[in-house]
Amino acid sequence: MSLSTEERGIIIRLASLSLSLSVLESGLPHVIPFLRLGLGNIALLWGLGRLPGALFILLCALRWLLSAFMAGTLLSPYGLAGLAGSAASCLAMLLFHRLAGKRLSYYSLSPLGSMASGAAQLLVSSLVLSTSVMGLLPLMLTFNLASGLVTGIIAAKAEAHLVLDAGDASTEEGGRWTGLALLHIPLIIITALADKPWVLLLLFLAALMSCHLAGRRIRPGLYAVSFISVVLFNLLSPSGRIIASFITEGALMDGIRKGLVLLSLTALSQSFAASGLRAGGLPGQVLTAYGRLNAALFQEEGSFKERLRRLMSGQGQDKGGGDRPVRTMPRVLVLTVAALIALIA
Amino acid sequence: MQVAGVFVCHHLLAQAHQQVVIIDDMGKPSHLDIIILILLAMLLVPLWASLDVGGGSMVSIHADGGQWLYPLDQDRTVEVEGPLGVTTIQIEDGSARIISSPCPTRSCMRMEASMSPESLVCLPNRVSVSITGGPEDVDVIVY
Repeated sequence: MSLSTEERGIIIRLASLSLSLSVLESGLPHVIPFLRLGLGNIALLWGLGRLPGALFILLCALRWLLSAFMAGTLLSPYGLAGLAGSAASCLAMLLFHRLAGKRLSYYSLSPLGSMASGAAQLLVSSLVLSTSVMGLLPLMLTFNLASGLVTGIIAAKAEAHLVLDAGDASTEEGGRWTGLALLHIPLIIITALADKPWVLLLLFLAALMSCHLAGRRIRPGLYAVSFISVVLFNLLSPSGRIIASFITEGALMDGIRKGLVLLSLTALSQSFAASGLRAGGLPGQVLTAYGRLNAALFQEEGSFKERLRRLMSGQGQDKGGGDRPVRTMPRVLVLTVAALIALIA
Repeated sequence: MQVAGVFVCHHLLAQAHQQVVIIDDMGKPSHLDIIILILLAMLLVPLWASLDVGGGSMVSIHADGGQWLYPLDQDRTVEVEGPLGVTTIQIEDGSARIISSPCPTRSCMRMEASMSPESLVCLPNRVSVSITGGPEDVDVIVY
């Protein structure tokens, strides 16, 4: 697949814009973990009419990869659910756009993508966490119909302000795989296979320690909400001896185990993201452009309207620099010891 | 009368023809958009209606040691302790049976329970197995 300079520019511009819009959205309060407005989809919608099908899929894939990588969820079940959601949304929008041509506008393409994404995410979550997650389907699809309509309206109204040609983004950085990053892969396999709660707890604590040593911010709220919701969802399908009103022993133990797996994988994924991998090629260029947009949004002076205008026109100063891996040896030690204990147990 | 009918038909056809307007701008809603949105909203109605609040049938086991609850649609064998010994309950193919019991008559092993409100009782070992939840369109059960 060869890219023309123009297509490459459009992909870099829209992928970085989509990432920035997601960051903008993460500033808004999240009422329920699963339900999101999906502002990042706006930039993808603009790609529909401008890129051929294969390149539109490339745009969506880049966006998923980089957002999962930066959020540190790439290797966790969240990343898997996100991948299913992104893929379903991308294919649904592309399919309907190709079938109906320009007779369908953002007003219906956006809700279609949003609902496909929601259904796919729940399906994957129900496989990983608990089948009772599927009970959320009506609520999720209703919410996504509304949120998809909102983002579709924004996409329609804001498109006139979009400047695609945002100068060159040709700063390339070489790829760098470190042993520390590779160490995470066996650990993730061990976590997925482990079933003793104390082993999972150990792996979780080791991964948290690794995040802490790397100086990555640990968000206790994220872990607490994940764990509690997995346990609650499992309690909804009772099994085993009744301990208290609706709590059964089997479901509780199962919930705790699945919750610990999710916590460990999330923490390991966060630790992986702090392993000093640098992306090269197209992903690297998107990240550079994204860094510029974020600077335009958050670091430079101006009213909110002025910041949004800079975001849409793609202006901004590259602040440069990146996080280098720190304290690699203690992290390798902590993770290796945890892996060995888990293997012996 | 007929002339008026033809006129109305012609008018509707003309309207239907006008609806297929291909627009250049993806930022402007078309008639097809409205149809898709209505279809999507209609899709939600059966989803909400099929929302299974109570869940499926459950097997509820009472014994001296407490109460156990298992889904009827998952095969498994459960052992509970009573004053005489261990009673073994098997859940298989959507029905529950007592497959071994320490009681003298073993009359509890002759029946099976598969829907609410059927139940199995072993009085000597103080074990009862009942089906709860699930479809409840039974008017009357005669033994």
